[in-house]
Amino acid sequence: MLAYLARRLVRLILSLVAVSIITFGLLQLVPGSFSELAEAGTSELGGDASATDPALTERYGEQVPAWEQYLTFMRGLVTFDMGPSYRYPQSTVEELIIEAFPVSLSLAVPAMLLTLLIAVPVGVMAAVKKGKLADYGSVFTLTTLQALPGYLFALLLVLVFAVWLGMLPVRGWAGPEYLVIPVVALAVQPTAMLARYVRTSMLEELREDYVVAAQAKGGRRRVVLVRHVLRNSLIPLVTVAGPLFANLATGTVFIEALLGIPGLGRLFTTAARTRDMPLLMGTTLFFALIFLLMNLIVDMVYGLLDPRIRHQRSSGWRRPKPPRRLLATTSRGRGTPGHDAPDRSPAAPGDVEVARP
Amino acid sequence: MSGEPLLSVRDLRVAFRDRSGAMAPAANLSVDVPANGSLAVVGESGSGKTVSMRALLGLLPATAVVSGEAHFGGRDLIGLPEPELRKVRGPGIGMIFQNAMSALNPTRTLKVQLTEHLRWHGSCDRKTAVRRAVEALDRVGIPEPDRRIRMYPFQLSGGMRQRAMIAMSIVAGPRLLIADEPTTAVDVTIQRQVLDVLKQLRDDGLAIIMITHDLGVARYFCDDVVVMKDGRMVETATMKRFIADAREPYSRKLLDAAPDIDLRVEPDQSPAPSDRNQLLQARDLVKVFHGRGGDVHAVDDVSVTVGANETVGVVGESGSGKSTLARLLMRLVEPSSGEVTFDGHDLLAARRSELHALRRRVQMVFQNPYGSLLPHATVAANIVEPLRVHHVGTPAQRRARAVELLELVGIPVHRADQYPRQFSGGQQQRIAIARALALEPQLLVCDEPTSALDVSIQAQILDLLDDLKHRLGLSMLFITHNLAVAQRLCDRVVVMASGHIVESAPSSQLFAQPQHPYTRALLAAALPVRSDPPPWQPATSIDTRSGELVEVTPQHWVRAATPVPEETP
Repeated sequence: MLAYLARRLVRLILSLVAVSIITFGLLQLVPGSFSELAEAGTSELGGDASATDPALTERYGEQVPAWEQYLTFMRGLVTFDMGPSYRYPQSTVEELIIEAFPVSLSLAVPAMLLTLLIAVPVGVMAAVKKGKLADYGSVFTLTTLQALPGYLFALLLVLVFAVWLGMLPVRGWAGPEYLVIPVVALAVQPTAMLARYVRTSMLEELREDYVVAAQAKGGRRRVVLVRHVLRNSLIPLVTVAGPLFANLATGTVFIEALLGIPGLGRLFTTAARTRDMPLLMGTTLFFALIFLLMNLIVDMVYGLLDPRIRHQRSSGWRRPKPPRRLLATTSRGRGTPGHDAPDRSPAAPGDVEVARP
Repeated sequence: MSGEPLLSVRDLRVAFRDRSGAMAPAANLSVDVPANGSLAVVGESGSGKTVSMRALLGLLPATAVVSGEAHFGGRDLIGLPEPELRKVRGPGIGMIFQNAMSALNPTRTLKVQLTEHLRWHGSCDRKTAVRRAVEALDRVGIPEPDRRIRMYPFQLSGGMRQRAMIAMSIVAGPRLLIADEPTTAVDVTIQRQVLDVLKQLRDDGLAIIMITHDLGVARYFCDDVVVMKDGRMVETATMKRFIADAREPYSRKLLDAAPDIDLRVEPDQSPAPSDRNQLLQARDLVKVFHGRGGDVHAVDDVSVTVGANETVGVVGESGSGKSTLARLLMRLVEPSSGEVTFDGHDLLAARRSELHALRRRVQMVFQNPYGSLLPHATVAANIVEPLRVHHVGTPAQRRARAVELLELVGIPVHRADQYPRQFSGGQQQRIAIARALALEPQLLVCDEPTSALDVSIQAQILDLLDDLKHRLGLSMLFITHNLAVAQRLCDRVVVMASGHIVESAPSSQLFAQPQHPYTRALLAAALPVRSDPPPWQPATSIDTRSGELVEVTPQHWVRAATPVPEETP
């Protein structure tokens, strides 16, 4: 278990380094820098203090070579001292992120809960009523909603609830009532996607013989659905819900911009627009970290939920024998199941029989 | 067998209502099952066997319309309200399925699955339920039941899993078991074990309805038989009379198609032509898969040859490495070590272009015909695909070749532009064979080509292959788990177990004088239709790994620790 975790963490760090190199490299290639934009007098860049800030000049000034700038930044990343941003020279990059992240999080958590609360029952209902009006109706509605961008939906909500009914504030960030519109708007597309996913996953499980077997044992339909089918079909849901949550937690550019919410999304767009290298690197790496961590958590949770994966891993963990290569082995063959993609085909679990308690 | 039958089905009719409201009849059945009786429901796929049995318990989807009567325990099951019917399912009638991997929920322990319905029925508390579940596991012959009950289905071996599922259906104490192809998905030796568990249950007083397509299983297990075809009952009879004197032409056709191993063949004394041209030669092949749970020696030190115009059968149970061997021989999988030559060319050293040319001369037929055909290409396009890949002929010539091949395998030429899904399984396999023959290969590698097909279709495909073999002078490597099929078709048979060859001999000799205990166990486990099954005791573990292959008589090789004396019949 620990060895597995360690292996995953090493890979996570390597991924982060790769992301940092690619981002920094792209920034070097893109024409225009913060100072050039500032000198050109682009008004929205707020002041020219950045150009003269001694701390900045020392770190990322014209005379400093690019690789040294990169190393300086990475050193700052490790020691958690990424220095000031170009755009906001009075505060450091880490301060800006720490300030914006809770805002995004306070949108992401309720949006995620709302998504699950709606998507799971709707998906289950559509699967159980497959081929009936309830199924067609919900699938049609979901597909339509999925095609509708969240920010358009936000505008619609603003129009109805803020402008016509006057129940909610139009935009801003000053209290719980400001949460309602963005949370609902954020949840729409994921809900539609997840509900369809639950439906497909349920239908797949419903085809298995164990459903008939449980009914043949005398189970009520509802009991069989909940105890066996729903439980199993929610396991793969974790793999979708994880990245989805990461997506929500890293802020959503359009809705934050539209509704004036000071979240990570807005921070990121500002950084990108102004070529604010430290801030852009900081936010990008933070996003990457969140996604990678979510993936790691998903994999761990998957193992907890699905005993097949759990035992497959534990048998691997217990016998850390290095693969012995014989003469002409170029392919590793079918004996190595990809650990990221749990094979749920009926034939697959046969490989797992080596597990012992 | 006295008085009232346990289950009495009268004019049970099942039909499925389609979207437009039209009814498609699926089954029509009238049978009696006495207490402690055993009835075989026999038929090919789509004959309505499963549908009619599930209809008894109301387990069909809502589109099914069921009518008729089915008296069980003094009540008519058809039309019984759902809550009442639920009391019959489990404590009254239990059900066993074909594939335990699917019929057991993979994410719950046996304990949950064996005890939950006892509590749904309110028959006992949790502690008693667990005790009864352990007893049930013990009854079906699972060792250490109180430890195994905490396991998940995937932690059990195939045979053990099948028994656990049987335990699940008997734990509530039913008087009738409906077994739906309980041994179709398992190996022959396990099949015998599972059937013997069911026999034991019968001795304890259960009645069993066995749905099967395998007449050998039906004969071994059942007293009475019902033959179904296209949803109709063709014949009912006692098993003895049915085997000896089936009345209906369809029943006789089924009986004729059933392949049996003939153990009484005289060993062919005429020396086999040993000067045959060796077409394919493999020496000391090894394939090791490096898995997470350690290395798996899928194929270990295997040498085979296939001569010109020779058909070699590779027989073994699942996991014996026979399919891997086929893939190694074609270099679809790189061997870990060893060598393969085809007609003098070193297949493993061959470069891309040379390999390309060599592969033209070896073609393959797979188990699942639909999976091996391109679903979005017409039949003609599927057949000419190899020609296209190897740049043979003009489009018009290829088309002509496709027509020729379709005629050869007996598919109506006017259907050349239809898609694979419009054909039945047997026809799809014919198309796959036509495709394999398109390049006029010298060697055809067939990997279980008839295992997914019904018995009568299987017989047709085997006839076709036999015919093609002689007409086209093909060599064949024929992989199968079915000894009877191997005997039917092959000149020489290689028996594999756990990645090794345990025995290899000319067909006539192998079946007349099997030498290795494993081969004997395989032969003994098979259930013939026309004769009584040979005596069989559950094989304790047979050593298939150690020892060396020794030539006991000319061309008859047996794996043995010490050389076997010449004369051991």
